[in-house]
Amino acid sequence: MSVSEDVALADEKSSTPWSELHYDHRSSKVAVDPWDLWRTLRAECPVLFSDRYGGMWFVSRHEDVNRILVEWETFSAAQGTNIPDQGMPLLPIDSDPPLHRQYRSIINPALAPQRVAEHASWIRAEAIRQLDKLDGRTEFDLVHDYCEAYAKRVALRVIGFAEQDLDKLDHWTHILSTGPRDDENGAIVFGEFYAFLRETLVQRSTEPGSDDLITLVVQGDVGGRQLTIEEQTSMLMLLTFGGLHTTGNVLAGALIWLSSHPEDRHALTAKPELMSTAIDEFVRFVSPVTHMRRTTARDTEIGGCPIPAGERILFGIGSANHDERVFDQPDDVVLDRYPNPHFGFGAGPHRCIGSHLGKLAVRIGLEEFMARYRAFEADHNEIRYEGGEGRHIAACPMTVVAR
Amino acid sequence: MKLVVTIDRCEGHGRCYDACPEVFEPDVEGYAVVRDVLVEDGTELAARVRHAALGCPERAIAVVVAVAG
Repeated sequence: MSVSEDVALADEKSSTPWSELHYDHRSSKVAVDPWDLWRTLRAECPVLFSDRYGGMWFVSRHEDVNRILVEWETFSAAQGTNIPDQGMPLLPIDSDPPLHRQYRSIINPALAPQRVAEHASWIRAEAIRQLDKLDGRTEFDLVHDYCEAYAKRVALRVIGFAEQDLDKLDHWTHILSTGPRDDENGAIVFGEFYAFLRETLVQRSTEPGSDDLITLVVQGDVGGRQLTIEEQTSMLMLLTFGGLHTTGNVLAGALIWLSSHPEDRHALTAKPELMSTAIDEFVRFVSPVTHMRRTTARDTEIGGCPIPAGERILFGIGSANHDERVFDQPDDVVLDRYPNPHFGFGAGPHRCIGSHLGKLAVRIGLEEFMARYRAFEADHNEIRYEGGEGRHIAACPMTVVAR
Repeated sequence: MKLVVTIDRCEGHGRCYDACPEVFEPDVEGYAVVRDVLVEDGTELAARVRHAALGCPERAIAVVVAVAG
């Protein structure tokens, strides 16, 4: 069939020839304004083949994404969970049960909610410290000056890095998360990042005693065997990515929403019991990680579309979280939305290991920001986004009025 | 009549023990377990258990009325 016939056939069915879309989750279009595209794909082409990055299937409906997350026997994580590949397998996410659970159990207890709650007082002090630094200013960048500065320091301390390591870690993780990491520069950055993490772990193994995740990784074992330094480095790398590039974004997205919805701001202040559902709703609405990958371990179908074994499946967490088949008013924040079966933390065995810490940090960050400022207004025309696995809010000028 | 509450394949989202801590609690790794408490059907607590089950994103919580005897 010629190209023109192909396009004409597609035109009969809809106005867009989907085979010509070349869907690219790391493109600026998807980073800046993906909502209409995702809505159209959910309706017209919920399982879309893209020739980008060597070929992949993009799945956009909640029902299908749910199955991919939960049905790990069919949709394996062991061949990688990103497109393009990271420089090495990241543990535990790039593994399948039952081995996966053994890796997780090393870290799980320290990030269980009852343990995370013990961090609340210093996390609050960190939020206040960051706001104190802005004292007297009526304009600043919400993302850089508050949300990321605060959230990254929370993650850093729980993981066990020194505060002076933040700039380096930020540089490496930013390039590997949002840049074209499958090129020569990406390989160099990955090498530096890997060497630093490995050195940190080796050093910690000679001076144990800290109460942090690095210590747990150093001491960790699977099935009675101590983790190799490669496994340790892999786990620490994933914790660093997950901690540094998610929480600050949810906080920023929440505050941007609240800046233009004063009624929600007042509701949260008047009824703090709304916070529990509100935090999950902000995670759904913002969806900081918008795309992840699995690989089919056997022949299957998705939404009636036959997919052979060995295919790469890119699934849309951001799209699923805004699927009108599941969520009323999907593109609005509904503070008391319940139930709220979002995949902002994933689902199935790979549910975000830091979800309880992330939710606590967002909550405290919101509470302290709203306690400090009686009014705040985002400049919506100047919000910048960056693409990658996530949809990263990179900048947002904010004007504030202190109480 | 009392409710029988069971959890199958919990992934540790923690929504149930946030919504109804009287009946659900995290184990040492954060996965949910059902506390050893009596929940009579028709009570306010029973309604809260059902509400918590509804909120599970894994749909992993089953709530049934025990057969008498």
